[in-house]
Amino acid sequence: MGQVIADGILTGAIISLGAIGVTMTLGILRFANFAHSELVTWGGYFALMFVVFAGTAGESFGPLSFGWPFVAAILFAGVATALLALLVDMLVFARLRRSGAKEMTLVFASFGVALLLRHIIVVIFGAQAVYYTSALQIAVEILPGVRVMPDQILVLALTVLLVVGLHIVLRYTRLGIAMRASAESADLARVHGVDVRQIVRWTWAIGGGLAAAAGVFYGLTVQLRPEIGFALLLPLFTAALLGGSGSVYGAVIGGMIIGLSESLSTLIIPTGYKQAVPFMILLLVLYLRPRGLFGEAK
Amino acid sequence: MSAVTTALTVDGLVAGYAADLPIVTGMSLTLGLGELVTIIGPNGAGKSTLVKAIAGLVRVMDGRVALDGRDITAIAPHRLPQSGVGYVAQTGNIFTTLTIHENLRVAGHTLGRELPERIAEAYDMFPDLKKYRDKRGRVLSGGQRQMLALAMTLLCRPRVILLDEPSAGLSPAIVQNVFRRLRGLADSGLALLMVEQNARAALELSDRGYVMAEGACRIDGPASALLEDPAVAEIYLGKRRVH
Repeated sequence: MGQVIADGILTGAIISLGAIGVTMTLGILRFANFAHSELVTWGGYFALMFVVFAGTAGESFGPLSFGWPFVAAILFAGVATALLALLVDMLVFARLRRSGAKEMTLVFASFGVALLLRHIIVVIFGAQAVYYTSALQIAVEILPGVRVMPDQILVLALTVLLVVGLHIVLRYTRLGIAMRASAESADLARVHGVDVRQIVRWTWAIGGGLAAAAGVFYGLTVQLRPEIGFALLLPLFTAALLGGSGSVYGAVIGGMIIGLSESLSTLIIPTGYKQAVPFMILLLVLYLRPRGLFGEAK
Repeated sequence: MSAVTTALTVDGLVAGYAADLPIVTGMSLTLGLGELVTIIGPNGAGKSTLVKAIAGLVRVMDGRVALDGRDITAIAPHRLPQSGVGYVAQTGNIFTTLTIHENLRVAGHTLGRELPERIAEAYDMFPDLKKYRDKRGRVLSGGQRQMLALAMTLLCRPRVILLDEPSAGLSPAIVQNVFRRLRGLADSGLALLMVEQNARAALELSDRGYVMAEGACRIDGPASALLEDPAVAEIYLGKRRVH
């Protein structure tokens, strides 16, 4: 039981990071971006590119599987994925917005973008699973019967750090308050001097950066595969909708609930059905509380 | 009436949401510093669209808007505060999910170091807002929302303020309160242009008025003259409804 909860929290952390981007796009750009989970995959592979080119030479940090070069790889992945998100917006979504495209047009375009992004990964890196390092890690027992890898503890700690950091940005900074204002009413924000185009760019950059973190953390604790994003698509959207579209805190809690329930479900149903759990939760949310746990009543 | 310095000039403005369907079909007006000018007219006359077009929120197809002689036609809305123009929308003119203080911070988005000082001034001017500082916008009453919207607009010290039906949804006593505030702002030297359904009450406090119908000006003149004009009274001051 303890082990299952620990695994669930870890999965939940990765889903939360991805779901934040989904909910931010829903809140500020007002469309469901089905390509967001592909940014998670790209984040993981950007870090791999860095590792392949720069090598992972150097000492590891204590019991962790990596050292300073991998920290650089994470930063590289974050920046590169943020730029990729901005590029996609510039080439696809911004053009559609300018031409006055409806929400559904953007949603379908995002499906196309998702397919494209996923298959570029297959073309470049192949379809097989890859790892950042072949070093074996010894799991440590943190509680009786609960064993986790040192990397997993770090991933959890970094996730908490990122979420707290985002919270501080959104709650206290000029940019964060303008982002929340634009999410509520772009026109009102505009007439008060907020350049909403700039806010949109920040939304992509922050969402992309956090997606990259999710991807790297997934690669670090599980493995890298081109279908990571596809597999995460439903959990990410369920977490975002469960939390309430536009609510960052909702996305984090939603992500945790999805991770834990996927994991806990293996106690009562065969592991193979684990992936159906987010689907069930999504149906329940849409049926019982369509605005999500923390969503604003519209 | 003494001569006033013209702040805003609108000349032959054609504007609307779709290129082939203008709602404002050729409207001209002037607005001077220290003046409160009201635009009245039946529903669908294009009054709201006119102020939105001046604020850059609606597509301008023809005509010209100038502020102090400077062309601001189809201005990007986020440049309004720096240009000295404030716009108060009819609905949704405050952020309900943000606190009162955050609302003021957004309103001062373009201000730098002066922001805390300006917010303190706003609290002095509207003490009620200070009381609710950390409450979300949604808890405010209609009148308080209108005051916050006004405080937000004043934060960047505009010379011209455009108001879209500031009395909408307010009780008569509160309407008088809001109108008196607006009169006070005009008397302090600002130029105020408002669109109002509450035509009689608005004109009673205004210097001049424009009567709009089908996207253009039909009658204009001093507010007192419009109030006494039988044609205006019959059509727009509530004696008969026209569609």
